[in-house]
Amino acid sequence: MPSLTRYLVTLGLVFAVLTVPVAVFNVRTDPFSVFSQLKAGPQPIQADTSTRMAKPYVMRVYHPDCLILGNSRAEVGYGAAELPGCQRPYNAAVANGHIYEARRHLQHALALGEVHQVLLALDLETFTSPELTAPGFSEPRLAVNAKGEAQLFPVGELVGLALGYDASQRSLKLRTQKPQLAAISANGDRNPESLQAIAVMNSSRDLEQRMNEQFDFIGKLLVTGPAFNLQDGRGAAAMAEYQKILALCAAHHVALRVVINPQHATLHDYLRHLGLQAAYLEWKHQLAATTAAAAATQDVQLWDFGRLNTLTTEKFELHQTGSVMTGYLEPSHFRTVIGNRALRQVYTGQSSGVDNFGERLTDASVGDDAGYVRSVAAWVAANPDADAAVARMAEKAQSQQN
Amino acid sequence: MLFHSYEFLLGFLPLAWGIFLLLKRQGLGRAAKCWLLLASLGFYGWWNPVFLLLILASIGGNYLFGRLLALDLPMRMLQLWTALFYNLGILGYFKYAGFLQQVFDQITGELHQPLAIILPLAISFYTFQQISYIVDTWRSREPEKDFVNYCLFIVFFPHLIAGPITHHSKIIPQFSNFYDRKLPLVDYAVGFSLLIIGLFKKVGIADNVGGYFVGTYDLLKHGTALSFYESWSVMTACALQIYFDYSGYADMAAGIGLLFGVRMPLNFFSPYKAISPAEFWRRWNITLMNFLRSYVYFPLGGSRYGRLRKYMASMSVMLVCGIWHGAGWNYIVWGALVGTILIINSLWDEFLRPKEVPPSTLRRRIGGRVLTYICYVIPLSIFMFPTLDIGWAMLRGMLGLNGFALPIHMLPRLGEFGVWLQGAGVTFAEAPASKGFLMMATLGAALAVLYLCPNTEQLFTAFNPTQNNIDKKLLTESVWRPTWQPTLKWAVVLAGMAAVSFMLMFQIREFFYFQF
Repeated sequence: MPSLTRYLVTLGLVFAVLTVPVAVFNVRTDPFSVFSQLKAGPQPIQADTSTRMAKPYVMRVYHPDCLILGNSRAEVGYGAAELPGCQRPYNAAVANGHIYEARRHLQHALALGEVHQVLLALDLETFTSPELTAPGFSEPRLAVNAKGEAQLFPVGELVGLALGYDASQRSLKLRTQKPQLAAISANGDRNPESLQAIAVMNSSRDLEQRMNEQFDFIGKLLVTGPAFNLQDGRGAAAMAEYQKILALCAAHHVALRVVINPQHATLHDYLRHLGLQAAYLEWKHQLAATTAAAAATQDVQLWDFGRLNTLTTEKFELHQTGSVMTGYLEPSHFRTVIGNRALRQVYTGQSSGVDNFGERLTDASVGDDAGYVRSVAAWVAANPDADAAVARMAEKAQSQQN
Repeated sequence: MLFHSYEFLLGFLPLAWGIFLLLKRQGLGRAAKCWLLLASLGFYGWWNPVFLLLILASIGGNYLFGRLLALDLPMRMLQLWTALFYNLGILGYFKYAGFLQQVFDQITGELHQPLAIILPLAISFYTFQQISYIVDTWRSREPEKDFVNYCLFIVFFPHLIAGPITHHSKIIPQFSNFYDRKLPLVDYAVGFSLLIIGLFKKVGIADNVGGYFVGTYDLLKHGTALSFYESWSVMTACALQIYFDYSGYADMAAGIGLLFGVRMPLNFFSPYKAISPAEFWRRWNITLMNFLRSYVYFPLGGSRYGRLRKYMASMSVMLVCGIWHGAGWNYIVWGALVGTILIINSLWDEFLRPKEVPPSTLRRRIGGRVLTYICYVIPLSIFMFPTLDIGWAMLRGMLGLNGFALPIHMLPRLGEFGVWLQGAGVTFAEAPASKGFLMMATLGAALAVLYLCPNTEQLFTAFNPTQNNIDKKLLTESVWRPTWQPTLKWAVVLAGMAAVSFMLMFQIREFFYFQF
């Protein structure tokens, strides 16, 4: 039946004619910065929304020996090059990264090569987030599954990136717009030039509005679901993830440094208004106790940069435009000028020269809760306008929860 | 592995089919069969290799029970029940033990650690198929002797994961086609075409309309009272998604089956075009309903022992159907609701319907279809939500108990008509579940496909794409009646649908928060 053969051939040919050019266009444009990594080794990631997609592929070709894990604050605020003794340091932190994702990315890197140094950057949101993974995370993308069993290379995802509607739409947009600065450098850090451009751009906007956007999101991570505690629910699950990270590092002889991020005073005030100050302190106690127990058998240290000091209380005017904060992009994200100072203190013992900035926590040294509460109260008294703005944001987060 | 994944369509299927064709062309029918068995086991094991042991134990046990039943030893009834308990025991443990534990805890007030049992893929399908095999072997004393044939009948990958539920007497004889060196090009042409149409139904229609139902559970859980308009919109999205998803899957299964020379049974025949609930359930998931009719309804007496017994049998069928779908009160209540509707339908037919069947007019057909649709969607609102509270919250909206307000965001778009509506007493309010005109247009387009287009059985009717015993008159029942032919036009249209489907198969979910 020649007509049947002709039908089948036509079907295949037309399908190929429609899909192959799309695939070629998308692979060449590489809107998610994935194909370029596989072709030429670690490359910058163009769009900040592609980091969760692209970083696991970078790790596949880069085989990092040192890692930074955490959320967007770690991605923005720490430089991978600051990790000492590393051949191929990589900042694998991703925006809104829950500690579960940190554990999965660590497993991924360990499956791909030797890792000997890990910096795990934490704040309360990495534990309170109601979802273990953020949109864009994909289990099959990683070299091993959650149980540590090897997984096949994610060919299906690459085909999707070549043929998919979303990829095509993004490619068209990229081809028709002006070239932008890459969001992420080849070592996983935020590109400093792009960050500076963003900081300047942000300075033209009302900072309270900017804070509102950030805190609105942070509020959802903090208060969505039942009241947070470490004994059950998501708190206990997150702490179990932390223990898994400790166990992984112990099993692979990885030197682990855990840091509590230098978050701005406004965020501490936000926790206070949300009624989470006690939970924050309990979280630190539990981290310290768990780490201290592990430190008896492995190379792990916990550092607290989350206290209030001259860096984390950087002043800003809510409605002022045109000025750029020096230590922060906005009150949620600290910059490398603070983050790298913290890393130098952790890794070289170099004093920061700033009082109350950076303290190694052991089980015994995490007792000054009253001092912490007093320092937040003092900041509130000295910054009534900022406190009032933070109170409004907290009220909004709680009303949304209700 | 899902049919609508690149791994399956560009990896597994070409490999499985290519090697199968090579072996078939060489006249190595037995090898082709063994290869297909191996590929099917690989397909199943892709998800979780551990459960290969379970399915193989189930298959091995049933094969031995079948052989035993043919030996004509004493106490055959005991052998039958042992075999049935073997199947139902496996199914019961994996699917219902957790639910039964919950019920037990609720009754006794005790609190046990919930059982962490993973539900093995396709367990309901392969268990039911083997129950039918065992019962038929007990009746006929003629088991399948070839173990490879029996294994392949159960694990043949096109029907393994989500049906259709195949009958051994209809599938196993077709395995002899593997020994024929000739390549049936017409089956391949129809098979690929069905596969493409099914794929498009799934990723092009079902996934799109289903997007409007996503989030409904969260809204209801947080106490949002959905209006009449919102409730019916989202439940229509849900009903359409389920149909296009499942019937799309059935089309893909039928198409893939044809590539291997096996005709699958028909599983859907435009159920929404039915003009009564009873007819709906004869067109919906046909193989499951046939199974329940043969192995539940008739053994319980069917219509042979009076009306009451018949209604009890009908109710039992739908309760089993509900429980088969899952372990939860929502499924049981759904089964009871549908069973009640079918009994009312039966009472109407017997006592109230005019003796002389009136001619089928457009008005009657539309009326019948609307009623049938309502009778399907109302129980669905219970079926779709894990707790009865949430189901009831949805039902309240559908019954108009939360008011009839239209979404406020529609008002500016309606212009003068909106003002007129307000003047006529129509109210407008916030409607979080409504996604505006795009939602209406998408649902409208999907409904148009549903009611105006022919189904795949009708489209390919000249080529017998499935095994069916559909009334010949029904095969021409469609407003628009194109029929598929292996022509250039169809090749271009279907290639376009395939290309669009391939583009839609991969949705990148991005995280848009971090944009400074």
